[in-house]
Amino acid sequence: MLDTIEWLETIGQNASLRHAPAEQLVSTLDQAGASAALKAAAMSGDKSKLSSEWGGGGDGGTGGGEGPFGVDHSSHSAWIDND
Amino acid sequence: MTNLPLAPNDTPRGSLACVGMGMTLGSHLTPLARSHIEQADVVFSALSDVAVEKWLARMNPDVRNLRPYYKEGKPRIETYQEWVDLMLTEVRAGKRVCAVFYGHPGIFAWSPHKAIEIARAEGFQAHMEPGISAEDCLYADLGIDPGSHGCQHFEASQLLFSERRIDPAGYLVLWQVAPLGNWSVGAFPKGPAYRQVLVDLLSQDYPLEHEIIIYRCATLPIEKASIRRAALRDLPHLQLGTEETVVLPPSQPVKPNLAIRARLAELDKLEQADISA
Ligand SMILES: C[S@@+](CC[C@H](N)C(=O)[O-])C[C@H]1O[C@@H](n2cnc3c(N)ncnc32)[C@H](O)[C@@H]1O
Repeated sequence: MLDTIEWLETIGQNASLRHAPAEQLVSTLDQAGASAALKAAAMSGDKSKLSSEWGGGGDGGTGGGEGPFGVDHSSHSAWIDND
Repeated sequence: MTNLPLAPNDTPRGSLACVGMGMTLGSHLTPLARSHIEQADVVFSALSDVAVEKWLARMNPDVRNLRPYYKEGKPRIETYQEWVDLMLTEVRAGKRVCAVFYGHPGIFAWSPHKAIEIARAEGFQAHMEPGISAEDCLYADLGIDPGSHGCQHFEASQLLFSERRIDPAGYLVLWQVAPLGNWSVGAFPKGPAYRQVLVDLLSQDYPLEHEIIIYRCATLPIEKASIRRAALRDLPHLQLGTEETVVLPPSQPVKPNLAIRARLAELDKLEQADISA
């Protein structure tokens, strides 16, 4: 049985799953015994529903891009200092 | 048999590859980037989502997350300098280092370019592997061909701090609009005030009611791209995420350059005359 990360990788690489209607994707996940959090996230298209899988965290568990410590590593202050 | 010259003992062995993870988990990682990750002694990462971090952790047993180096009140540039130092310390220690960044590692990203530059200057092998960036996804999701009208990309704060020439006959893509004015993590948000200055600047080339697009591509494959439309005048007060990019479609038609056309017509005429002579 696949875990959530394996499922995400599988969905990301599969042409039928990646753009499948939410109900269809959730039904596939359901039959394969995927976690409730993944099914809820797939149904709503809302990744924050997955945060319970990662144990939350300061950014709601959604990760790097959002929240105060989002990875945002361009030169936007570097070029001011270097000019 | 001729003996091949052996590399001198002091030849540095360490190397650096900066690779892109692409934007969407599972969909964009290239086979070559994945191989760099799998073969590295040490992997550093700066990624978009915890899920992507967990995915990466399965590809190599020694993945070190760069994200915790952001600290409340600490200037971002200090963090990026630290990232460079961390990568180079391992390269100098003779390790095969792979640094993985979301999207393309060289697009609106300072530390990968800097680390490669320093590593090369010190005689180490260092290079970058491209990845699918937010820019690539944007063209696909918004149906924009940068070749149709031309397309300028600016880091939003550079547009404010420098004198640049905007061409409103082409697309304008603004990166890092959300952190505008906030050089330190968690600094008092100056966003709306700075964004108002940005709108004032843009209003020299665009009407205030001009449509702007706020775009975010999917980072997990259970998501859809988010495409919001608003008027330019509303930009200061919109809720903007750090993962969003702002696009201004053209506000003017591409004007024919009559003088150059006339010159080219002259050239064509001369060529015709040469052929018939
Ligand atoms: C430091 S840059 C990194 C860009 C990244 N290297 C790439 O290749 O797309 C951060 C900026 O990229 C853009 N960005 C990041 N994630 C995005 C997403 N999911 N969708 C659209 N734009 C995004 C935003 O403009 C953000 O301010």
